[in-house]
Amino acid sequence: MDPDRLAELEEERSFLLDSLRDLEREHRYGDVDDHDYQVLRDGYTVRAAEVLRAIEAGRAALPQKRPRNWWRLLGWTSVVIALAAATGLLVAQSSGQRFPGQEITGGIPGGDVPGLLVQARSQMFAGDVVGAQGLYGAVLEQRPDHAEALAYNGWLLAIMAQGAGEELSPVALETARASLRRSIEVAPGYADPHCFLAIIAANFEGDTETAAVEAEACLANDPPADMRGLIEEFVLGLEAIEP
Amino acid sequence: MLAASLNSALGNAGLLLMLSATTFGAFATAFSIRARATRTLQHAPRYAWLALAGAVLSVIMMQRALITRDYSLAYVQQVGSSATPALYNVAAMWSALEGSLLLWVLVLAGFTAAVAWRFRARTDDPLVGWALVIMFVVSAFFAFVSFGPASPFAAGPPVGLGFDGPGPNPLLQNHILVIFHPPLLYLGYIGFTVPFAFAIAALITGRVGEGWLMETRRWALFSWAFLTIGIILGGWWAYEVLGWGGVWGWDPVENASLLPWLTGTAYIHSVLVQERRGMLRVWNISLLIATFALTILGTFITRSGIINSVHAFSAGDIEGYLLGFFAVVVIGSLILIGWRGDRLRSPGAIDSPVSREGAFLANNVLFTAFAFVVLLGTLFPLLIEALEDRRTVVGAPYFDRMSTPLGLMLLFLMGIAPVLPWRKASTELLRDRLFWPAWAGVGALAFAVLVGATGWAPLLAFGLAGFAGGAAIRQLVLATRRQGWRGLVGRANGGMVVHLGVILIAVGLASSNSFTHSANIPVTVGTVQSWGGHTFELIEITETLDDRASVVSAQIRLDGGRTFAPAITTYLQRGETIGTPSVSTSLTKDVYLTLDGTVRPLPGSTDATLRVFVKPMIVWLWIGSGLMMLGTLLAAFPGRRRRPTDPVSAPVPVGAEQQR
Repeated sequence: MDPDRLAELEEERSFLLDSLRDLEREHRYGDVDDHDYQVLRDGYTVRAAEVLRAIEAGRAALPQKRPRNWWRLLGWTSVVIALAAATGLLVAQSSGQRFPGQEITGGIPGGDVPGLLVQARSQMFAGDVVGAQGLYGAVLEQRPDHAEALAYNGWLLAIMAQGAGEELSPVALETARASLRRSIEVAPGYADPHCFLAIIAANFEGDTETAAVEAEACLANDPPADMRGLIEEFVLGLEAIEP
Repeated sequence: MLAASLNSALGNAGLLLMLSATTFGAFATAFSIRARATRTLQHAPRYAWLALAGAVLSVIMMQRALITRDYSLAYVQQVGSSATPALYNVAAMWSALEGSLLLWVLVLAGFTAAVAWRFRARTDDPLVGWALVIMFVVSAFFAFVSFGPASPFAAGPPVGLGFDGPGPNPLLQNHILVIFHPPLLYLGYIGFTVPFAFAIAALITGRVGEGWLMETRRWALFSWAFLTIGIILGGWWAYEVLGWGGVWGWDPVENASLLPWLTGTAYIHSVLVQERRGMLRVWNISLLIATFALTILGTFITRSGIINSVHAFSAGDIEGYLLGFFAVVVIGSLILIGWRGDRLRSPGAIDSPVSREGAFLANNVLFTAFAFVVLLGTLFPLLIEALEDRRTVVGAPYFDRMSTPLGLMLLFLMGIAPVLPWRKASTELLRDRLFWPAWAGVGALAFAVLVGATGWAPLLAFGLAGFAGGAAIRQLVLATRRQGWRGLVGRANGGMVVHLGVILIAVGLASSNSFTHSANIPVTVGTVQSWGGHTFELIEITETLDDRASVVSAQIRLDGGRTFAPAITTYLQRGETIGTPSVSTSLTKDVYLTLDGTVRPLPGSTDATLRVFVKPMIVWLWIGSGLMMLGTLLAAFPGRRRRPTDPVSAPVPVGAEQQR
């Protein structure tokens, strides 16, 4: 039997039983005389009996619970659990550290860059040179031509080169310079890489001539106020050294 | 709560009216059904009208507050600004938590009123009555949240004379699509409340046969269509505004919209099996419950402040309410399913896996697996943070790696399902019906190789797209031969048009994801730069300045022809800078130009750095989406329909199948 028809019959049964109850009450209070009561009660009872029989027949006609094949159930459950576990493992393997400002999933290519830059700047100002360089490196993995990341990656590499051994130091310094030059190529109007090249040339290599040229380029490109002060002092220092 | 202004007083009054009408409506209607009070049941629609009137009043007052810049309201202080253009000022209502919930409340009240109107002649039918009760309960919950913990009419701190707000998030006042994307998405999300309400009503009344499915068929179809178009417009908006050249980034908010779409799509397929064969009753009800529950979960993810996304809202105080409501929905529904278990049994079983119902079942398994993959990936960082206090991110590669094979399998099923008959398919029949689709697949693959496509995943996608397209076109050709133009309408044929749209989208995604190339190109006035078969020439860099923003744009001549103007806009009130791409679109590829945002070019300067993406066939995403909508409209028209309750589950006479 269609479940909708069965539900209708059940609705009718409730209606008839309620009507019988109401009729009893009305008869008890004298609202219905004995004759009408008898006629109405018989009518309701016959209809209720028919409906109850139809409901029983309908319930018997409902699809019976099929015997469960436990082995098949176990098999499918195992497959589902195995697939879910494999997906869970893949999720765990695909997850990584979330930086401030980063979304919990996905993210547009380069969308993590603002968060990584914030983190990198904060670590650099806290003096964590290695940590900051790693974060700028992470930015460059997503945006290889990001001018700020190239400039500061170069600068931090140059600082780290000072602590490297005699063999490694020149290589690291050259890598740093390459990063700074690339930053200038990508953003010719960006002052910071010129400033860093000037400091590297003067302080790490004693090349005051290159330092003066780069410092001039730095100041010409309108560096941030704190950097400007630093470079202006630096230029004065260079002039004092020059014969 | 003291009203700070007329807007606040009337806005709150509207919400209170809706809360009272829906709460009283739910109790009165439920009581009337139980008491068989037919006359009082006839009043049920009036509660729906009152609720709608309240919601409309609140929205009008919020719009008035935004237009008049009523800074006595905290919400207007947050998103209002005298510099915001009128069009975006309308959209400012849904640009933050409280206003977006107000829009939700309006759409929900609209759907409740629409149900009350559509079934106004059947208010004494317990199925309709209980469905209205459920709609009232859901409406009362959202009206309560909007009136109480997330009130858009709360008074703000006093502000001085001349105060001006920051305006909406710059990303939400940068493109016309922001006007349409959220309301359409909400129509989809909230529209699924109607089939959910009828599913619960069917469980309560025990009328779990096919009747309620017929009542809600078009509601489900239109909700699905709105959800689809809302998601696609979201992707289009991301493409046009965010400047990274893509349409989908697996952002948690995108995932939150995809989850109900996946279960909803599974439902509109599996419901056909119940209508035709009376099977999958528990499954269909479960899919509707899952779809509705996932919209609540999505609302929680988007509006609880637990995520940081392009279009998520800031932290509110409503996460507890949303989670509680989600729990009530899931637990209550499971109890009802358990209670009605004996009536939900199928009268038959699937005769053969190689049949239409077998294909629908496989389709449902894949969509459910897809939903599980997305749900797990989205919730994993939240679970890890809750359990281990560790902040993690699940990257796009996980979603890409999992969705690619699932998508390919779905394309394969799209090819095979339309040619399969119900119950059982013979080898001869399959050979005959799959002949042209198979050739179409081979042809598509050969063409893709010929034009230089490489890689197993895109090639497989093109081949399967050809196969699925062949199957859909075969079906439409046969139907139009038999019935003329009517062969394009009706569920099966309209569904094939939807399939063609999905195939175009799949081809567009496979092409643009696999064969996009990009570069940073420095350009100088007077010099023509060449890259990727295109030339770029910087003509000038200009600035336009108004009260709202400063827009620096680079006039770029592409391929010596039309000029494009990628720009960087700085919103003065917020001090935020965003890029605005400029796109040259053709049927074969888009050339997508943005200004590299590291160094903002100065107006009048002679050089700039462009970031250029060449994206093949991405326009087919939008064409496919249009075709999907057209197909949905055609599917909603009544085609040549048989009564779903005809005894199709009866044994088939021997030889009858062969005659089909």
